[in-house]
Amino acid sequence: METIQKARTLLKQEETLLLLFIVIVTLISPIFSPEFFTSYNFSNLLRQISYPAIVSIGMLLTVLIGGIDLSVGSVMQAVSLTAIMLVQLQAPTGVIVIVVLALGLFLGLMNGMLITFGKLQPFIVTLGTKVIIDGTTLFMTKGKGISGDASDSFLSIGGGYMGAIPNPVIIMLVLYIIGFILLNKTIFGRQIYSVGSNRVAAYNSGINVKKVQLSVYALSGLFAAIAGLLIASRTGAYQPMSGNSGATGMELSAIAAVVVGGASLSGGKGTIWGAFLGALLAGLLFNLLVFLNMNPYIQQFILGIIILAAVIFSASKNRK
Amino acid sequence: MNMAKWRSYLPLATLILLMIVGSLLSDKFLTYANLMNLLQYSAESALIAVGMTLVILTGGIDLSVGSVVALTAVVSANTQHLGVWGILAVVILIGALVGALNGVVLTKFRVEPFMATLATMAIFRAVALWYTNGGPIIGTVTPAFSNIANGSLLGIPLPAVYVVVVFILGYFVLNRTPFGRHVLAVGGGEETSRLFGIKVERVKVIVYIISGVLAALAGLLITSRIGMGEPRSGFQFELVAIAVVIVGGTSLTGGRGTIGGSFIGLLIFAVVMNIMNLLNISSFVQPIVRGLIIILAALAISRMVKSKSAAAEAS
Amino acid sequence: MDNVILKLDGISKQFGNHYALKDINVNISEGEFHAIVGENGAGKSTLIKILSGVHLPSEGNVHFKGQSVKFLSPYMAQKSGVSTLFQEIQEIPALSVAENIYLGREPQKGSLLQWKTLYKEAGELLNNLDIKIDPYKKMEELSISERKMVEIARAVSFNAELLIMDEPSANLNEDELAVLFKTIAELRKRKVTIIYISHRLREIFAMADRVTVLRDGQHVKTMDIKDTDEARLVQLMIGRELNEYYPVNTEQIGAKVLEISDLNVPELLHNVSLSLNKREILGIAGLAGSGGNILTKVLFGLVKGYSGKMVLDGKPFVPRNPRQCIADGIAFVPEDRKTQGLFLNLSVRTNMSITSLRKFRTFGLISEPKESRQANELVQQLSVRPKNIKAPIRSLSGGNQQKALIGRWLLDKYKILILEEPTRGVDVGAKMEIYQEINKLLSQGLSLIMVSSELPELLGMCDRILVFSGGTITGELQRDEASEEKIMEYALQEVK
Repeated sequence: METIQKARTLLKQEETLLLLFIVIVTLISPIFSPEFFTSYNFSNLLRQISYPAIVSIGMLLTVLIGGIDLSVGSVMQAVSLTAIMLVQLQAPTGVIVIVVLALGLFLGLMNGMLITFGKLQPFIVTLGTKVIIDGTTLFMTKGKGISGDASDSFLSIGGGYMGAIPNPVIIMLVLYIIGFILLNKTIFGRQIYSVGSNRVAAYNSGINVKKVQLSVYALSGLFAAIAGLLIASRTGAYQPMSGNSGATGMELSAIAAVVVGGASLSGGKGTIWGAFLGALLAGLLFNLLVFLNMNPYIQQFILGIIILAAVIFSASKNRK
Repeated sequence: MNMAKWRSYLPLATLILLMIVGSLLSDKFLTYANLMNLLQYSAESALIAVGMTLVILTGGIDLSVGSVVALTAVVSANTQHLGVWGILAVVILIGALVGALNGVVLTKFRVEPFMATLATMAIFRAVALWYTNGGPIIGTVTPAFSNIANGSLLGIPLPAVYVVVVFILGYFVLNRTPFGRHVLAVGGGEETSRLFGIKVERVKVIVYIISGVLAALAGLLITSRIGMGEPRSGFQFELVAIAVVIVGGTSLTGGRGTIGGSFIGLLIFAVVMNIMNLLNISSFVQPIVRGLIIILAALAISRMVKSKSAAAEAS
Repeated sequence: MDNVILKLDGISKQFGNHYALKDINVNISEGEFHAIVGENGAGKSTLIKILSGVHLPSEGNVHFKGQSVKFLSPYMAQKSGVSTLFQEIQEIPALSVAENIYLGREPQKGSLLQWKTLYKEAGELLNNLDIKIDPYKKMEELSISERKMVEIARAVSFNAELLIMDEPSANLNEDELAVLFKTIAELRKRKVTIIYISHRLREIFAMADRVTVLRDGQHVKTMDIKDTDEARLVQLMIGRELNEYYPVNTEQIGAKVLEISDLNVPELLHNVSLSLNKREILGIAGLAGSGGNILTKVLFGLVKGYSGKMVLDGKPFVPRNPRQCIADGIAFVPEDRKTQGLFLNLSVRTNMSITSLRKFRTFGLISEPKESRQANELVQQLSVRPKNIKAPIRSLSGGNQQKALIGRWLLDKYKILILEEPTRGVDVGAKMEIYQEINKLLSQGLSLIMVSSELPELLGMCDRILVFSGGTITGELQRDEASEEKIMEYALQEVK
């Protein structure tokens, strides 16, 4: 009796549901692609998933405080470009890493300041900064890709392996563990949930709401920058991207991961574990679509449908 | 109070200032040809901005308009055999359908408007690209269809006429019909409006349908103008429209704003872009300026609204 | 008093398994001015919500003009002739007076709005009611009383036969009250039946024909106003002896903890000086807008731009924001717990531990076992039900939420606990438990400041009561000399 009860509550949790989906997608994938279970394909797939998955951590933080960051994809691209420009200047790898991560933090902080001190809606601010960042990137490159003679140490960041596992995957896992500790084991994490749940009550509980908000947007910029750095250092070149891998696609993927993972866009609800599973599921699905040799536009279409379904699902659940 | 009154003239003052700056920077600026040019190339923005104004007045937002433009741009290029009126009917129908989809999603399921329309933005764009497999549709446009955007009336380019007509219609709907009052009421207080017997959901759905239809017409206009159906057209149009509306003094929280303000906002935007063109400023800089205008305008407006709600907050 | 316009026939309203209203039977005659009184939580607002179409009754029938009616929305009720003035003014601030009056029913020709007719009709309507407001003005430019007048005009434009007014006199000053009463007199001339809810018994005795007393969701009595007086009405409202309800503070009151001299907040507080002693419960009384809750907000750093000197435990005290005030030893339970205090979707544990998380850290990380142990102890001590500290606090009843919210401040040491409306929206059983808990806090050396609009609560709990009116203290009453009459006398005192 009790086990049934337990199974029921377990089934009701969306994490369980997500895991189930993930297992199903994993199991049916080999039907369409015999080489699915080869280690080469698997590590490649996980690497592809790692970029949006890392960005999703930052997105989750902003969504948890009731905001959103629509500029993450653009920050990612701007960071990639900056990294390659520094490569062209033959800057040491350490300097490149520090500069681009600082750039991400700075851009995120800009969003945070405009939202916090300008008292503006997050979506309009980050939409605005997105256009500015995209515009600047376009201005610098005139729409062309650039490449440089990257050092091995730079290329090894995103291109290297630890054992059989690609570095980006390791970094993603480490970041998720850090994210988990941050959200569940630190005061800052509790403050994030509190601010998202009720700003006024958070302020009345002695929480520095402005500081929390600024930190969250800065972190969102940082996570996007890490993803951007990993992409740039994998190939040693900057390619203006479009479609699912482009800026807008990245934002949508991150939002999809977070919302599919059970976070509420009105704030205060969502888990890092859910975001991880959401990112994983979205990645596996796309992989499947690629196997099916599907037109990339249909993939985009499906991404849109998934997001729409996820937000509808999340909204209807939160109404209860 | 006086301060707020003074501030409501800020958009107009900015426009006049920009006109003066423009005429000082370039002697081509204040010519009939240039001004007509300026107006004519604002036609798509004008259509979308009027719809966006109504949407924002209800407290919503429609991010999908740019993708609707792409959708009808390719559809109208591919349905030339239906004749101008046939195409028009198809395009309006598409606009109404996608608008209704937006409206129903966000009223029935109470999804935040920006989220719902962000998703449909991705969907509509993907459909447009899918439809043409990514490339443009070339060589189908008939002369009669081409005339929609390239013809003129009494020496005035037709698109300039559309700008004036759509703003007059928008003004009329907002200020001369009960529906217009209900739009403002819904944005001013949803619960109160419901208490007053206003069918809030219906008002919202209609507003998104209007926005969808106007965006659809903008898509048709683009295809007529450039002579081909380009599935990448309409990119970031939603941002231009939002910027125009905000610059015109309409509050993003809904319930406050005017169509006339959006007209001024459109002109401000057009003048800035026009001056940049006249000064040969790289087209790559223009998106940056666009983003800056959005944020500056949002900041200015939030200041204005804050001074009004400050008293309410203190109590 | 023969034509019954409204008949309440066995009305009950259940929320969960709690009865907010039970078996209410009242007949109201045409043209009558019928007052409804009762303590907070007596069921007045539930009754209003049923009459106005916000809620449907769980049992029983409402008969209006001889017919059984089911109002599904306030708009439907309004169209049938029952209009309600809720405490919160219903308006669209950015629209004009005339637009607000006729919103949803604009005069139109075809689909065209007839602006001229709109303003002409609104002007005539206001004129007829002798209300001097420009119909072209925007709602947001009007004072509170003017906005209420516009609402009344809107109700009249619906040909309201029954007008329900929920605390219409709250937040109004003397001049504004005069305008309100004049308009009510005008309505009575038009034979509009009025149901009037107010805390201010004086108004009721001046205007009402009959009065219904509610207590704990039950119908206590309906009587002619001539047959009663204020004292008896209060007796009926409270319904029990005070001393069996409230625990007595037996702690020895100690030395001075807080001293405030000449506290001023522009337009809100004037020359407020007071002191608070250790283990003392200080009550703050006053009508809405009299300034008592401004004082407590200053003490918790929520009000900027004050001047004056404050000394806390011998040290100068300058509140800047809640964070610093908490660090200085001030704890605060706000008046509206849902919007200002609780994190509704978060767990009971998080809601309690949020201000003392530092205590549960080991190596910089929160230790959940430590946190849960303390939270569990508190839940036991305060008898919060259910005892599950991981349940979202939204799932608890109002009383249990309030207990948890008080518990938030028991995990650490504070000097002063400020309680605003500690038992608002709390049922009777939980009320008594909360009073017991409040009293126990004193033994831990806390001092309490309690702001409440429920006089019996203040009289029952406080060692000393300060009465506010017009932003200043108009009276100070020791426990043994305090009474409702004296408090009201000070509270109504006009301050120039």
